Amino acid sequence: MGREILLRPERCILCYACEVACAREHGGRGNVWVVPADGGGVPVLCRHCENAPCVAVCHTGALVRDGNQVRLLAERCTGCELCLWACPFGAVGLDLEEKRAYKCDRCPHREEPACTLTCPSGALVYRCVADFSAWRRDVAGREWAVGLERRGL
Amino acid sequence: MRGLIVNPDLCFGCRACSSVCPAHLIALRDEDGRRFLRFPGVCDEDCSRCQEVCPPGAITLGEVAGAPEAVELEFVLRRCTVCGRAFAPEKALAALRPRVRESVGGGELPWWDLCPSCRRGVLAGSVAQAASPLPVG
Repeated sequence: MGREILLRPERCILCYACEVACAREHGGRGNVWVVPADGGGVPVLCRHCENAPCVAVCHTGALVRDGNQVRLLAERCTGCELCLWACPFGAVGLDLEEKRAYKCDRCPHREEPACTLTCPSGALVYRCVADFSAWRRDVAGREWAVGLERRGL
Repeated sequence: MRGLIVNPDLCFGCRACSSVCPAHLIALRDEDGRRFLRFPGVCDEDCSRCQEVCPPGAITLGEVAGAPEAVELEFVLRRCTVCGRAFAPEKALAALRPRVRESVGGGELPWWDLCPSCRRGVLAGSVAQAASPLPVG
């Protein structure tokens, strides 16, 4: 199973390191938006949907579903803006100078995306979904046990 | 003379033609909640990119008699229900909605009337709320 960029939002410390790392990796304009929420933050980026609305509306085949991700083939993009209107998460941007859409590409030139490599608090991680779920269960169980111990139960 | 004929019934006001035109002959501007697209009546460039990329197929390039005048189309932009920003032509949203609905398996599209920035805000809010730590013990 392929790895994906996954989120542990309770760990986000709103430092914007992922935004900066992504921007540095993509020529100064990043594909991640850190949004303040509920005292912390949530990095918002393309979720590479299985039934992606952006792919459904793209009329030049610039957005394609490929394995476990949605690829944006920049040379086919016309900058029409339809994918921005279709994306439920606001995870696609439009570069008005280059006249092209942009979104998370999971840093194909790297072993691991810049955002997950950089995240200092482990809020963004690059893992397989099955591993991630097992890990989350394990951590939740330990935290629960520690809580009981502290209360002398 | 080669005319650039745009069908106003089909054109829904996206950016494709104005983005790809190498001679910058198609002008797009957003102003006071409206989008204006101005097409030259005539185009003698050795190019048909606009016709190729137009999503609804509204542009036709072909020989015409005389010199057709430039045409300006006007579109009402939908305002985001959260922040009020005008973000997309109503006509384009109406045209795309069925395809988007089908892609997500039907149902309502609660994000549809929000601009991309407010869609991120709503997503972040719901993720943060779901992630609020449970009381331990």
